[in-house]
Amino acid sequence: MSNPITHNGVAVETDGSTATFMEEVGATRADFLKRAAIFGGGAVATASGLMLLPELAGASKKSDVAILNFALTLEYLESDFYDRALRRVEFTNERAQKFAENTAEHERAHVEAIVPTIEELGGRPVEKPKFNFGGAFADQDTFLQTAMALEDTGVSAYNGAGPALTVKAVKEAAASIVAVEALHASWVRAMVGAVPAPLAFDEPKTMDEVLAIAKPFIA
Amino acid sequence: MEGITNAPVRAEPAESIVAAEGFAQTRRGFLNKAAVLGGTAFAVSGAGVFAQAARAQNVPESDLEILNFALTLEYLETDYYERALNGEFGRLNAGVTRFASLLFSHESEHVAVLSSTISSLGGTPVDAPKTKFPKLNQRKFVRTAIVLELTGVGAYGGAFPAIKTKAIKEAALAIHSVEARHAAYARIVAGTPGAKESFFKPLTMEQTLERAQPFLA
Repeated sequence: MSNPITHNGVAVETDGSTATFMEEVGATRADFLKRAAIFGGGAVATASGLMLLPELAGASKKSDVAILNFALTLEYLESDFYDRALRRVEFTNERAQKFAENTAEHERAHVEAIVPTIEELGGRPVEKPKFNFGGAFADQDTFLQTAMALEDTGVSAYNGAGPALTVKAVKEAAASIVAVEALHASWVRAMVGAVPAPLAFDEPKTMDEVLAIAKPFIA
Repeated sequence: MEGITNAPVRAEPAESIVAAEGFAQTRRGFLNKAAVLGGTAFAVSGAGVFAQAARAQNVPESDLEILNFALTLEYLETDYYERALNGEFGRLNAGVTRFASLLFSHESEHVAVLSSTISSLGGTPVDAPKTKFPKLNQRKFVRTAIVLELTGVGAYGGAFPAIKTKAIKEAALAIHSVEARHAAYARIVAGTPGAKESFFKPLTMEQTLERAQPFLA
């Protein structure tokens, strides 16, 4: 039997009883889009995207599109990373696999939400880049270490770019995504035995700083 | 049976960082540390974003209200972990003590930095609320921590789009993601997955208060 993973600081008890609250607070994609519809009163609805105010000034839309395309590139990277990991990593621990499965699903959902949002803003979503993750899938440990770097970077990227967003629905979407990136980061940090929340304040990174970190993975 | 083991995937000295940074300490230890750091909130690591927030110009009243709203929540969280460390919720094992110590340390820093930022901006920081918690044991303490931290994430996520001042947006986001890290940490200590949801639902101020209300005396 494989080792279940918890934070090394001892799990208390598992009875699944937090699930109800987690389900209540956590949002599925459908919830998210429905909620966006509620918040975006008077906005244009589409089946797949966020609700955006039609009377937005062109300039603010344009700058938000640039930020969203930056986010989309990162989400493509993460999504591709976990999809490949699920095919290639020989998991020796079922909780590490669970992490990869959940996170793969989340990152895919982020890509699927950001693409139509860019289109609604009148922008053109960037193409999915080709990625090269080198030896990241050689074993479970290497995968987890790489995942930790990617998730921490994702958090700092959204935190750095978020303040420049102008469209309310996009701000909401960014906040609801960065929170999930932070959940991932904390989770994977615990799995490798690092402190899940190393600082009282997460350090933001500029787009340039983030792209420099992501670049080695872009073929 | 899942969740009862302590083994990280990698067998490395996982506690080292916590111990090295002195997180496993009492409130007094934290305050001493703060004193060593010079008593200014901005000496706290990672709080650079707040140094800018404190110098912001023309901050609207609505931003100060959001900061005070956040301060109330941070006071509540700080108080909760302080009670835990003082033994109010019974004996905590080493891992749970480490968890409570880390979160107490972070939430205390959030309180310190939010208060001084509000003052710097010409506002009046709210007083610490009177709190009350039900009788909890270790297991319930961790589960309630999940609730509090998820509430914090939802509150910052919900407030973020309404913030007008750029430096305050940055500061709020820097705390928001830490609350999310705490929430995942609490889930993991409880033996559940760190992330289930693809998108995190924000909370309005009213929804946040509704969740916090049971703990306010």
